[in-house]
Amino acid sequence: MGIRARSFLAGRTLVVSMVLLGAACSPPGPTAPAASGGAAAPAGAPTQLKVWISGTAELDTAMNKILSQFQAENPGVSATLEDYPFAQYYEKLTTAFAGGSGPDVYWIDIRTAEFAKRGALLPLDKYVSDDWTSDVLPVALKEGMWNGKRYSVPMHELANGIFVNKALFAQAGIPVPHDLKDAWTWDQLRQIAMKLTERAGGTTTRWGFGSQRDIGDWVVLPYLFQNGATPLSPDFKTASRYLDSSQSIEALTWWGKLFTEDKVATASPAPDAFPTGTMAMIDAVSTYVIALQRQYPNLAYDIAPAPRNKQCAVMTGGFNVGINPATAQPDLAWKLTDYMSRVKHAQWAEDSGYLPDRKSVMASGSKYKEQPWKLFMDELAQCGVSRPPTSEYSFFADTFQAMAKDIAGGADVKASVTKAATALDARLSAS
Amino acid sequence: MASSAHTGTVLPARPAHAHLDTLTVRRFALRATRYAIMLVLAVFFLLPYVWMMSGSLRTQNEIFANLFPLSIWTFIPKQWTLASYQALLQLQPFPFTHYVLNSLFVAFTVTLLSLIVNSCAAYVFARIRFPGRDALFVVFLATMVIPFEVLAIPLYLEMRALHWTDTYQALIVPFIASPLGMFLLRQFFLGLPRELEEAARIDGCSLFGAFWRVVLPNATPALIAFGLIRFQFSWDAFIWPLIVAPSPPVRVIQVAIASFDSDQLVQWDLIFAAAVLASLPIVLLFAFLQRYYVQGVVTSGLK
Amino acid sequence: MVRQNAAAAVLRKLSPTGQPEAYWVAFWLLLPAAAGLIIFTFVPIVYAFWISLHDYQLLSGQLTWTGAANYVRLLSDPSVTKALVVSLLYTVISVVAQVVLGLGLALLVSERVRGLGFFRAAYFLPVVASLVVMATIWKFLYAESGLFNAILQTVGLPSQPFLKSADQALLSIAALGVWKFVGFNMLVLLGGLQAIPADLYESAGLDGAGAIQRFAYITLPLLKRVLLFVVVMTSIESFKLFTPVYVMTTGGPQDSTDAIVFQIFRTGFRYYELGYAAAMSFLLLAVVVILMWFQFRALRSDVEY
Repeated sequence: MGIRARSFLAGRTLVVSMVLLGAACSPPGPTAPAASGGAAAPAGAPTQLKVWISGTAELDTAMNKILSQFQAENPGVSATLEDYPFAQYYEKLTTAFAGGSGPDVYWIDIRTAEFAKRGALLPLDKYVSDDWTSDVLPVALKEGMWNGKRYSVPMHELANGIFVNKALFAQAGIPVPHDLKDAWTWDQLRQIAMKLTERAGGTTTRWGFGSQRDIGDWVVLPYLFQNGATPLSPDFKTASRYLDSSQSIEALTWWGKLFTEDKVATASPAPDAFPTGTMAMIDAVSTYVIALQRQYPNLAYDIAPAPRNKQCAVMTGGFNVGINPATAQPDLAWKLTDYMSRVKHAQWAEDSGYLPDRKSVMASGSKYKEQPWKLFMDELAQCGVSRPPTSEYSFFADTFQAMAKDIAGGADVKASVTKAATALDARLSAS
Repeated sequence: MASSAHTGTVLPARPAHAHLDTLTVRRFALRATRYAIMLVLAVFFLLPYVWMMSGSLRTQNEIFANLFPLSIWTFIPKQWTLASYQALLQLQPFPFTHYVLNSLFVAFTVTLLSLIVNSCAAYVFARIRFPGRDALFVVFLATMVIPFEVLAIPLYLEMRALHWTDTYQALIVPFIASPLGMFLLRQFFLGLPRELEEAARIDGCSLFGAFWRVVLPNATPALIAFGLIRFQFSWDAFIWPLIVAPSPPVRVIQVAIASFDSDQLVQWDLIFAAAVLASLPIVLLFAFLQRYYVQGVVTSGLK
Repeated sequence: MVRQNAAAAVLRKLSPTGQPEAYWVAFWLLLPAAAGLIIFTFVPIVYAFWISLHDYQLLSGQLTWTGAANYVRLLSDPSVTKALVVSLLYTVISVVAQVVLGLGLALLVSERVRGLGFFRAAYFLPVVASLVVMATIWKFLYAESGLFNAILQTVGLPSQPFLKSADQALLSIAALGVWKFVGFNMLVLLGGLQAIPADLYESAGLDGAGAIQRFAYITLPLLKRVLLFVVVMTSIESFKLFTPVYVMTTGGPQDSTDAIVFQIFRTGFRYYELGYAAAMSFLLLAVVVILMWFQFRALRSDVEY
């Protein structure tokens, strides 16, 4: 190739790259905002707040209702909503922040610590008073903390219960408990599952047990807690001696056997296995009630509390609300955040079908005195556990999930756990 | 002589008295086996599509219901319904057709501009010599091996710098230049006889004129082949539109389909119906332009 | 001969400047494509390389110079080696399956049979489907109570774990890949087959060569160029395996489907370590280039007919 042509091209490339590099990296990440919500918004122009959530169409409607109410009470403010499917929500947030165009107010779940560490959340301690938090259930406050500071406030909660097929249980003469104190023990759960599992030829025509969510920390961690183990140390920086403690391994072994030996559960259930009768019991979140109501209104089901072993433990978690540190209107953003998570909390819980996390709402709502809501709220208040709010949460979730899936697939428990613990130690020590 | 050219089985001509002798039987058996294999393969290839289509015509509860034991009902809905398609048309904030139109617009624009830009470049690589031409071609081709995910973030930052996020340009412009297109079209141009252009030049055409008015029209099969490839590539795009232009006004089909699978609720009926709709334009296009596509692909691989 | 001379004379007359006119036209014809590639491919590559020399936290945008540290870490990272092996394995399986099946299909559709158009369309149909959608559908086809197991059981075979087994998962994904892309390779190989003159077979037949010999000594050698095309294209695409892993297995079980591109994506987008991810992608680039170079040498064809 001609030397001249080559260097000509190289020179051109260099110049263009410098120009674009200069433009593109000044600096990437949360910066003083460029366009929308400019600090010197001309008088009369509405102040813009971008709100991002991850939900369904119904949630959009409920959320937009709150935003219109906010706008009505705060003339001159315009709040716009954007919604992304959960599977892509965090990638979307990440690229938005990378390009300096993140939202002002956004939903964030257990990943609060992750985002906080990387400077994508505004510390909220100066806005959140003790008064504010005293009305909230303690377990709901856990997800929003990092390094001793608060970075997000809870929007709503979810709790798990065991949905059972009423007809099958009646047929088999198995009573369904509704109170926390009557929760099944591990042994009872296993026996019931084995009784209700049916096989024909080489196939399982009905599974005794299963989970609504994919196998991972949400589904499996409760068993660790129920056996008195925790996945990580209290400072969330070590996995060894916690994830691989004898109680933890015991719990995982018992759980794994449900798939490999007892064969009462499958790692890849058909969607809608429970409502179509091919699964007798399903460990599902409280909002499953709404999905069933909409798609299978004629299904007769009941809800039992999550099982217990040495102690009770029910997985809880939900979305929280956080503020972009690069927002031009931090005080206004907080006003909206407070509005969404506190002022309109009762309305939100009602419209969205999520569980409230404020004691005042629980007390005043008649709905929460009836089953199954009463059960969920009791679980939330008395047995709620949450996932570890580590700043390397994504890594934790992926590693834990891979480990759990391997165990359900028949891999050696000790080996899988040790492998996961080692990887986690390496990663978390730097968190 | 009856011959199966490529396996090279050469069978002798039929004997004069055509009664059922071993040779005819053998020929028939061979034919029948061949047909059976093709049929079984065809079933395997069509199976997922058929299941997907029948799923789109069912109610949500029926979609996964009739798998065991395998029966005709696995593939044929017991209760036919167009409810899923209706639901697509009633989506908020935009009916599904809006996303279809977005995808169509983006795909057509990318294809058209791609054809023009890449055939120009391919012509240069095929016909006009200059120092370093072939090395430049190799450098261009080399970029094909880079997985898109590698470039996604820097490219996204570029889009930000240009203020092109959530615009159609971001979905179109980066994909106009295509090394694959340059390769395919160059192969084709190399196969065209030079006499065509020489005749045109003698008749008074400029170099560009010869290209535009004589060479291009003769390149229809390659253009259509590459056009279809480009169209499909744009139609199928998921990660990039998700990253750079996901908001509903400019959202494309694949992103819309992904949004039916959320944390709380997987709307299978919508997914199946949307998947069928998303396949339709592409299938129709390929069906109509099959001949050119086949010809184009087939000749490009030969050089 | 006379005409050629006349033509040459005319050409010289029409463009007295001769070559430079061509350069000028070449420049303008090439410009849009070159500009596009420079701006949207080369610049991002350069930028990605620059990022690979830093620790770049995606969310915060914090950039810390680390020099070659990322590359050093790469070379001693067992999960990266494993991921490369997974991608390589997948590529080998994919290429072999696609070439064999593609050639088989091409042979089948090269004959005149009833409904040829239908068969060719059926084998080609998966090519036009969306990979994201099909990966989702196949995930359920492979489920324990999915369609494939239903079929297996109907014919009396035991259920298979498919995506849940460390031994079968990669093969299951490969099956999807083959199903999706073999139709394209079938067409390309078909072209190659049809370009072989029939009389070659006939004369070989007259010389007493059997079907297999004809295939081995005529068909295969003359297909070399086309086979190279198929092998190279399939290798490049296979090595970049991502979407099916993302949709169906997220790298498991037991890292058996943790393809390198998936790992790059996860490291950069989920764990926010963009610098390290960028370094990984340059390693990937290097491996692919080496792969391609070997293939070109191995399948170099000097056969003319």
